[in-house]
Amino acid sequence: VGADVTEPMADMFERVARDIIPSVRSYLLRRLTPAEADDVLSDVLVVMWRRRHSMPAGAEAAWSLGIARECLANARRTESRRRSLVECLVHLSPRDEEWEGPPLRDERVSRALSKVSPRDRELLLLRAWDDLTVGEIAIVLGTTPGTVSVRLHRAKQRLGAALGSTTHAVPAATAEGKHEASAP
Amino acid sequence: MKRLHLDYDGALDELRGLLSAQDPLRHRGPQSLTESQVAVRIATAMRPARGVAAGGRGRRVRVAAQVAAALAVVVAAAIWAGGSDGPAATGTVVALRLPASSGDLQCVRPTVEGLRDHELAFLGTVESASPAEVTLRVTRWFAGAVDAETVTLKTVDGAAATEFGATEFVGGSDYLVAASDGLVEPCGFSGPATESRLADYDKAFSK
Repeated sequence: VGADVTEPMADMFERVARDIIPSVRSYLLRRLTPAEADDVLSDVLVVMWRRRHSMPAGAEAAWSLGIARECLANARRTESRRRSLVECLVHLSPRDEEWEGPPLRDERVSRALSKVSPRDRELLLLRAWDDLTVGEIAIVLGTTPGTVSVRLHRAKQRLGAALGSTTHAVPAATAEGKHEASAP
Repeated sequence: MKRLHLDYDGALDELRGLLSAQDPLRHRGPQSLTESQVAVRIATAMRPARGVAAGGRGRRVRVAAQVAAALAVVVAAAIWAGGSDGPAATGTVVALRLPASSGDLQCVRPTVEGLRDHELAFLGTVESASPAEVTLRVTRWFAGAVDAETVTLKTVDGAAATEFGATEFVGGSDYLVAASDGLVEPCGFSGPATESRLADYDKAFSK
């Protein structure tokens, strides 16, 4: 700890930024196109620098992902405004599913993920894709580990139920735009 | 048809495995950023008001430059060990000269091969810019004087150092500079640190 006190802020920031760029970039690449991800990464670094005085020692990575999460939401708001304008212009109805990331390989998992709430989905993916611990997820979301633990458990159950229901809904060709009843 | 049983932890782990298998990066494999892309992003974040490459992007490289006569690399402190190979800077400052501009000649786009021939190449941020002298803090050396942290630029003919052909040196902005024989290479080789120029430098000087 003592050594960090004397480290100039700019050097410290640069060191932390180098450390966290790979995980923040991976987080963004999982949820955006590569070009969008790199744009948002630049935003994340700017926000990190502005908030550098509140960077928690020892939890820099999770703190940075929390900022990435905010920047991602911001980027999506901008994107969805653009998309809804396009949808209005060409008379398309808004998409049913809410998964906004890149398409997943397994249609069944993709459909199940679309059925759970965005909050459940976020928790599940922070754990399964970004490989964060419950404590780290708590920092990202600005809540307590206990809360994360409980929510995560419930989210898994709901995803399990959604998966169960999608396995029964076999004929994929008919489903366009139709909501299937979700499992009780 | 598979149904998950949720009453025991094994099923929840299975669920996690199922999700992990859908990780987009598992199939895409992220291309990592190059060292210089990382350096520019960090440097830019620390000066949010400016951004990389003032006035550079998409601008046509007009030119500049008639190679002026004489220059010399002057490395403050101790330098170019006479007759030894290449730049042997041991000081912390390298002084380079900007060739005189002769109006707006058209330059060909610089090639990666052409870039590779330069003795010195670096990415730096303008710390101060006055007509008399421009000072850059080096973020990364691609070639040459790896010990030096600062590079100063002066024109050979006393013209303003802040205007170098189509390039304007602005405090806080990032530039890529290539030089040989103490003379900065104009004509698109040196200029604002745009993504495309950075990519050229990466290609030219990657080991």
